[in-house]
Amino acid sequence: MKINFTLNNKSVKTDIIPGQTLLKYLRKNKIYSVKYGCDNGECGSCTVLINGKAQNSCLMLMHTVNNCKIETIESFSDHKKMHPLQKSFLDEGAVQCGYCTPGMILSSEALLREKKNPDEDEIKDALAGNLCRCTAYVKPIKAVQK
Amino acid sequence: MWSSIREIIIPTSFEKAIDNKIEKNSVFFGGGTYLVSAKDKNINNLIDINNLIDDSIELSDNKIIIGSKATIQQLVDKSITKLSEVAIFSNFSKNIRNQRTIGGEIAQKNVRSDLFTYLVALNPQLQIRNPKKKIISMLEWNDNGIIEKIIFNKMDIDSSGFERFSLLQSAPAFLMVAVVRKGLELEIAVSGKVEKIFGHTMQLDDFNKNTLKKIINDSVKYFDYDHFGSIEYKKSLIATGIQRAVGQI
Repeated sequence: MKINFTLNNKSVKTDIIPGQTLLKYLRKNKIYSVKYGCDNGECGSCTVLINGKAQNSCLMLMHTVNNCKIETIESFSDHKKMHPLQKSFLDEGAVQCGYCTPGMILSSEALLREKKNPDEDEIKDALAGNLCRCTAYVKPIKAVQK
Repeated sequence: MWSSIREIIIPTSFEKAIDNKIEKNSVFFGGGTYLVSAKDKNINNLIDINNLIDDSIELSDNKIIIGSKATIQQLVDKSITKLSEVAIFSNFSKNIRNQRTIGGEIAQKNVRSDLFTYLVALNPQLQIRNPKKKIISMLEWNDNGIIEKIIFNKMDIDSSGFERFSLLQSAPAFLMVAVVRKGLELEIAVSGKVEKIFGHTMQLDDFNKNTLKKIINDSVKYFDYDHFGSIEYKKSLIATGIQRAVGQI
C-alpha cells in the first residue's frame, strides 16, 4: 500500500508495511526525537503532531496518516535558534534526562496553537498524557506559562 | 509494530465492509487505540472503516446525534454537559482523547472505562449498518454490524449523575457509579475494577433505603477484596456514589 504525507514540511510518498506504527517508521527514518517508551499509549514519549493535534505515534498505524501533516520537534529548530518553547523549558530547568521533553514540548505547542494564554488547568490537561520520571510537572507547567 | 497484520482493507461501502468481515481473523478498525495497544496476534486483517463513518456532532433541542468517528476530545470540546465531563475522566491523556473514538469506546465494551459505564446507564440508541440501516438501543447491540451514529436524548444526559473513586484524580477509577433518570425510571450502572458492569433499572418511586441496600449488596458481588479496599469499604463507596450521583440529577 502506498501513502502520501507531509513530514516536517517535506512531502513523503512511501510504501508501508501493514501493521507498522508511525513510531517505528519515524525512528527507522532517523527521527530520533520521537521516543520509544511504553508502546501502548501510556507515557506520551512518542508524541507527534498530526494535523496540529498531539497524538501518540505508538498507537498510530501508518495507513491512517495518509494525507496527514506530521510534525516532530525536528521541524521546530534549525540548530541555530531555539523554538520559544525549547528555550523556556531550558530556562525553567524543565529538562533532566530529556526522554519525555520532545513529547511535552509538542503537547504544549498543540495547546498554544489552540489557545494563546492557557490557564494552569488547561496546561495540566494538555500535559496529562506525557509522563516524566525526573523533574515532575511543576517546571514544565511554568515553562509553558512563560 | 503489529506483526500479525497481513492486510489492511479499505472498503468503499458498508456492504463491502460487512463482506470482508466474514473472513476469519478480521476486525473493523476506526480510531484503533485499543486494538493497536493490545496488538492481538490472532488478528490478521484490519478493515479500516474510517471512510464510511463520520465525526459529526449534531445538537438539537432534544437530541444529540454523534458520528461514531467523533473523538473523545471532540465530545470534550463540544461541552455537552455531563457527557463531556465523563469523557475527560475516561481518558486523562489528551493525546489519547485526540485518537480514541466514541464508536470504539462502545465497540470495545471496556468495563474500566468511565465513559462506557456512563453510556451503559444512558443506553443511547445506535444506528447500525449491517449493511442495512437499523436503530437499536446500545444494550441490545450484539456486536454485529458497524456503529454509524450514536443518538442521545438530551434530557437523559441532563438527568444524569456520575461519581468515580480512584487513588489519584487522573488514575483509573476502581469504582464508579452512573445514574440516569428516564421519565419515571432510574437506570443505575456500577463498575470499576470488575469483570462485568452491574446494571439495574428501577421505578423512581421504589427508590428508598431498602432498595438502595439491595442494589449495594447485588453490585458489590462484582468486586473483589483487593488493595483498593475491603468489600465493606466498597459497599460504603457504592452507597455514597449512588447518593451523590442521584443528587446531581
